[in-house]
Amino acid sequence: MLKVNSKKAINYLVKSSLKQYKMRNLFTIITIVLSVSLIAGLAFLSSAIEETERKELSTRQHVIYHNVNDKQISALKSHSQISFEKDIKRGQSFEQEDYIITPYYIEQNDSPFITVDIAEGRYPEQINEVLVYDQMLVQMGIKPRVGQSMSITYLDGTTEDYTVSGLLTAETTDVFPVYFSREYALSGSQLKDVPFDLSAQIEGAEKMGSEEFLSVIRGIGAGCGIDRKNINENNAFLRSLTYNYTEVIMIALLAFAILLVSVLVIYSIFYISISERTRQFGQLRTIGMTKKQVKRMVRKEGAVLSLIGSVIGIIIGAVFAFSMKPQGFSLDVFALYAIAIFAANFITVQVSIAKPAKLAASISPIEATRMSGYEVKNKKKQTKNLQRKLSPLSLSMISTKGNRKKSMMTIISLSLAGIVFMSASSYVDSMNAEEFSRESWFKFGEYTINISSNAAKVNDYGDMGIKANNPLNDTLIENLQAVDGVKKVIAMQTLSVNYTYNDVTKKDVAAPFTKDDAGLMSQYLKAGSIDYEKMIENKEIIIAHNEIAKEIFGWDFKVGDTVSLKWYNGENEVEDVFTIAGILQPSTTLYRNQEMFRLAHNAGWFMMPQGLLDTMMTPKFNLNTRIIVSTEDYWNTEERIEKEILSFTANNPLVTLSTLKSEMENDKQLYSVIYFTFMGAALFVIAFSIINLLNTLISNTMARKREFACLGAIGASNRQIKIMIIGEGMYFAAVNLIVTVTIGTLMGYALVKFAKWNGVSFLVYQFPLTYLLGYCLFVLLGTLAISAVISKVLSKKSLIERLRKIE
Amino acid sequence: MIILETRSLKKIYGSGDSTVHALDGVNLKVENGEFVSIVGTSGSGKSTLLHMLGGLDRPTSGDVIVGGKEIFTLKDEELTIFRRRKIGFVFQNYNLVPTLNVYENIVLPIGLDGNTPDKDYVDNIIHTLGLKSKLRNMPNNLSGGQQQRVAIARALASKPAIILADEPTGNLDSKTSQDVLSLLKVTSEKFKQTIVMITHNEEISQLADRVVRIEDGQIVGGVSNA
Repeated sequence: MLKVNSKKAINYLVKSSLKQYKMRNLFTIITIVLSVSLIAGLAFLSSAIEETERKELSTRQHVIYHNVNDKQISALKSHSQISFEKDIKRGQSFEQEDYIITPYYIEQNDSPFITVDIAEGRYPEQINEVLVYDQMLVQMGIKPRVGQSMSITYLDGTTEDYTVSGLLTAETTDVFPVYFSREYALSGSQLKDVPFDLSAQIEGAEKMGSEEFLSVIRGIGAGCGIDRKNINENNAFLRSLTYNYTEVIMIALLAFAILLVSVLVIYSIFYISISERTRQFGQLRTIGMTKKQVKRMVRKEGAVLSLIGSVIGIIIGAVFAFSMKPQGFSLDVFALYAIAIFAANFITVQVSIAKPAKLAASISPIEATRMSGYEVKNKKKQTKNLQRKLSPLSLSMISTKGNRKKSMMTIISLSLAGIVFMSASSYVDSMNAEEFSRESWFKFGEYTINISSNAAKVNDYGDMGIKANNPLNDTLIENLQAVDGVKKVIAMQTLSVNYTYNDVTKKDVAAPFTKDDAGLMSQYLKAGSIDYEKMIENKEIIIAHNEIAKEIFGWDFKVGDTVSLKWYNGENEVEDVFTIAGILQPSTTLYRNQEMFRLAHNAGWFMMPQGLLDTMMTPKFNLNTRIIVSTEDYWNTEERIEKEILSFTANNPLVTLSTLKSEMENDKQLYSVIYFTFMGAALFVIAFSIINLLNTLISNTMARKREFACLGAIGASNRQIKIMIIGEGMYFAAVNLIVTVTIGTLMGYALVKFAKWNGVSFLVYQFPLTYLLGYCLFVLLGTLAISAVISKVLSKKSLIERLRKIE
Repeated sequence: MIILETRSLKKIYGSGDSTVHALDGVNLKVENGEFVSIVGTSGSGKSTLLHMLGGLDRPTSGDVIVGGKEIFTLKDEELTIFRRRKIGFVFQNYNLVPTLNVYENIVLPIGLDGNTPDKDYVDNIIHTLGLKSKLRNMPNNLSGGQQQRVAIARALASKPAIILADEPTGNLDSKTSQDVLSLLKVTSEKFKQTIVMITHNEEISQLADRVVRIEDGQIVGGVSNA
């Protein structure tokens, strides 16, 4: 066969047709731009968030080797796999009047992590030099300036004099680190007995898998004689090494849904455009264009449109995402995503126009030149009734039913838009600032009274030392109960322990459960069993949050293993061995049940029968760690009740009060960031669905202008035609609204419930009435306006012109 | 009785050098029940004349009188209604509504006028045009000749004063053309229907009672075949 290069000729045809069908091009490009910018915005935003995190992590250590001696330090420092390192010492915190001081030594070198931002002066070099917060000096009643003399009196009564070598500035706080020189770290009273820690970044760690990274840092540690339990990897960094597939899958699914909608819209736009151009294709076929060439021509038109739309869409998406997270721009990722989106969109457009292109190619020269332009393919051969009602309104119904395929496309496209709209607005409307702040203990009440963590920090036995004379006592509880408007006072107990398991010794919290709770807990067991009495007898415990242990340590607790616990029993530090009797399901599952949340959220890894806990402590030891107060009518009584609670607690520095209101105040910024992110995405989706609606309505009516002209010729008045157009628009609007209200509501409800079930607990389902009313109004008015405009446009052209187009 | 009359009908397109006199003072009279064909070459002004006769387009000057009524004194909307009641069209490409069946297409103009069809009369037309067995069919399941017969039936159904046929056989082969034309002729006689048909085909025009020739927007001669 003779091979011809028809590229030039086809390109010419493509160009001229693109110039001619401006309306179609505009609609197609708008559709593409919307979908591409939506997908690009999501993808870029997610990548930008990840990139920002990665950049932040580059200024964090990868691992800390605890309790290292001189020999180990020099071995680590000369290790080839360690790129940066710093040795540090952290002394015992102690309380000074109403603030807390923590002594520190941090090696000064060019490592990018654990940096101290000195506002004025320099890091201490002499044994009697210190670097302090200006705020601390103010609290001490000393003028904050470099060169100032000051003294600190320590817990043992000794006082040491220092010179301020540098100043740090910070927002108001009551915990102040004080930095000392290396000399002081080696021989100063507060730090000389504290072992060094060495924090390090590992060469090339960013490119390792998480398993590989762990084996590298453990290998380095083992090589230097450091125990596994003294190797503390940076969990945030470790997490960044495993790719977050769920997010990628979510975006891919969403992108797929968006592209699916675009396919429908672009398909119908092109389908109509091709039908309108039957004659043109016929002529081209007559003068010798092959079917292949016709197909190629249509495909090229699509390619040009998708190119333009993709570029605009990617730019919009990128501007949106990177203006929200400017730190998150990375050229590599941007290029990769842009190419992927580009390709996905190109394929989408080509899929959308495959059928129309085939249709164009199948037009035979004879058919095209002899027949009129627009031939509806009607599968129906005969009607059931001889005559249906023929008023303008019923005519529009007949017409939508007659073009069943096209009507279905329109309805599907509109309905998808409506469903997406309802889902998005349900989600946004269901977001609840109060529930957001009630995520944790505020689920159970509006006030929590806790043992002050600052106070616990400076006690030799930590919070257990404070509990030995527990301020959260029965008197307080009785007082709280007596406050007018208080519904319930819940006291929660915990036992602070040091556990040893699998070579790890760490601090943790054990929480009790009662015999009644045991029944509920056994429904949430993943392994093992709960027999309350037997557990007391055999010193058995239950493990919660095991999946987090797996995440942090790489191993998890096993039923039947023993765990050694060490705790302060009110008189002495004691130690004992406990057997694991059962393991609870993952936290996300537990937290679907409010009672399980209360039991398990209170605990670290360990839960034990109340009866067992009682035997472990000196008699009458009060383990209360938190009191939750719930009220009848919070928003009307919060100020008064807060005052009354403060009257019991304000004078006691050992307890702190948090209120739902202050929590909401604290959460405000975070919540509004989350809210507006969702709102932004939802608005985008909503804009997409609404433009889609307009798009479909306009192209749908324009496609039938010939039919209207023909009706005009046989005597339908402009008013009658207008009624037909509006009637048809209203038919689609009605179907759309019905689907939006029914399926959309269901989907929105399901989405909210699903998200809530998966841990987005601040969602309280709200029927998005305002959004829906707005949507209804828009759909109805939009349809009316467009129909009116179209019929006006149609009636402006004379009948002859319109009829001529047919011939 | 004269049912249709034009008086110095003129239609001028464009202005200045590019002025085109599509119709240049046409005077035409058509008797009630007459079957007139207007013959002309492409660009002779025959289509423009037909559009004027049907009230689809307004002339630059001159009058068209249908049944004693000067139709261009009517407003657009009134003209539409007048057209619906008094004029039936038969187009070269049939212009049937694709979503309506044959019967519905036939009675559509009557429905648009808010009337119910005269059942006997419509049955008679359907019988005459041989469409009895096709009434429930959709237009795209019909041959070209059948579609044109539906279009003729539609034009007849509202008992118009005149039927205007614009190249009614333009899309049909010669055998089918003959069939359609003889049907036109038969209906014209049977229903005493005035028909004005335009065509470029001399042979076809000979079927009419009278042939009017048009050239450069002017009538150049009329031959009566009757």
